[in-house]
Amino acid sequence: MIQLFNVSKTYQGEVTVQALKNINLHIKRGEFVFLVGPSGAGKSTLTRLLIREELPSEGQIMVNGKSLLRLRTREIPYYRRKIGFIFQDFRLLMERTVYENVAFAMEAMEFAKPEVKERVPAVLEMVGLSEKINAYPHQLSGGQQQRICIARAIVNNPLLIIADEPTGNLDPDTSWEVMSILQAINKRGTTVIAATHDRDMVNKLQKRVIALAGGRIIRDEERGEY
Amino acid sequence: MCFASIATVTVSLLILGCAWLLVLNSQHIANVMESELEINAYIRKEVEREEALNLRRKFEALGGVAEVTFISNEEGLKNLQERFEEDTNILEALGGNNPLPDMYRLKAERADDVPRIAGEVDKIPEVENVRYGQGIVEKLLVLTNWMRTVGVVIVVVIGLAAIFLIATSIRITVFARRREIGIMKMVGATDWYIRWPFFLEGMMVGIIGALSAVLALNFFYSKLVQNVVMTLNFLPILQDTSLIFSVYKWLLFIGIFLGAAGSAITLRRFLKV
Repeated sequence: MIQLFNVSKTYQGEVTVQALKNINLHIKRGEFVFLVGPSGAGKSTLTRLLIREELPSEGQIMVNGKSLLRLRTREIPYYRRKIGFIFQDFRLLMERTVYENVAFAMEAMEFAKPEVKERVPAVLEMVGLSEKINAYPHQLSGGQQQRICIARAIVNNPLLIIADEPTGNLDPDTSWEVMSILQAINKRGTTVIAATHDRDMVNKLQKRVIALAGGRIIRDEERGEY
Repeated sequence: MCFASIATVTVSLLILGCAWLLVLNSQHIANVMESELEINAYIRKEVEREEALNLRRKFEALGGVAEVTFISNEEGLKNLQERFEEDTNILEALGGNNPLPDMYRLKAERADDVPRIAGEVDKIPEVENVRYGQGIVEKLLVLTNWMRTVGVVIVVVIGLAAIFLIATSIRITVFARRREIGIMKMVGATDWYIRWPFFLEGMMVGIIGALSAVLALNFFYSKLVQNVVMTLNFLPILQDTSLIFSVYKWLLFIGIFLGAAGSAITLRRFLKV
């Protein structure tokens, strides 16, 4: 589903930084992949390339058989609609309710109103937020906020979920809740890529682990550890 | 927040509207004056009255002449006398001599024929001097052109200021909503889905600004027309409502354009994918 061929990314500036060096990677449909490594290893750069926020300096990226390098500017939004994002800092709208936060995303994807009305409560139920549908994010715990974020990411039935430190701001128990929701989504066939620093989580779940350091892949194991 | 940009649009369109109506009016006045142009042909003193009266046929034969009026020197004096206080006797003051010549007053069928007719009248030997008001009309038209140029320059300058202010105020809203914009981009909203509300806001600023300008202009102009008609009746002020309404219509269009241009500048620069 995702293929990277000799991908490098260099940031030109006062100091030239080579964030990724010669990455070759193949992720199959339905996989659950942990991306681990110290800060500055290139995890964020890799996610930015996958959502086509940036282009690689060298190499080729194929998602679903389509080259991201050849994606036209006006095609980018439609490409992103097939991907769900989950962030460490949630990126929620604080002045809108749980329902509105998810509906806002669906409206931005130009879903029809009746579809939004039907789908949002269903997705919120899936992540266990049915009771909090009219609450505001600041009235909720960190784990609950992250679940809004997950609901928003899966509302469109994406093929791929990219999670950037999804449990980075959460305590261990809440992290488990969030991770089990991600696993449930993965079981339904959605590919999940999660960048994380959470050693215990990675070790316990025994999923594929890709370790980055200094912009290179130093380890890629099925059922790996941190 | 966007009051300043609305106000700038209003001011710039108000100035444009004023300049426009002024130009239209002076053109109108020039046209009216041109159509009422008269040629005065003064007859030599030594020409006998009989001969002078016979000249009428020569004038009528010139072509393009609509009206020929003979004004004898006595009549001329009488007209002059009427303009002064009744108790002063001009004839007495002039020592009993009437200094005025006999004259013919010609009206042309078409205004642009006036110089030709005047030239031919000048060739008639009995005519001493020809006068017509062409100079005044020309001056008025020069003044009109000048006003138009100055008006356009002022409007361009203030219009640019309006576009800049709208662009700035849209930038502030874009900045205030950057979080929402970020999320929209992330979930795959198209550029136009994101831009449209800001574009609309810019156009609303333009429309509101233009509407207030048009309302103000309409109020003042109708007051002006009222006053001019009552006190300066000889001044042919423009009252053609369809023409004035087309000015208002254009002002509205220009207002919308200013708003759209202002927001387009910001959106191009700050809402890249």
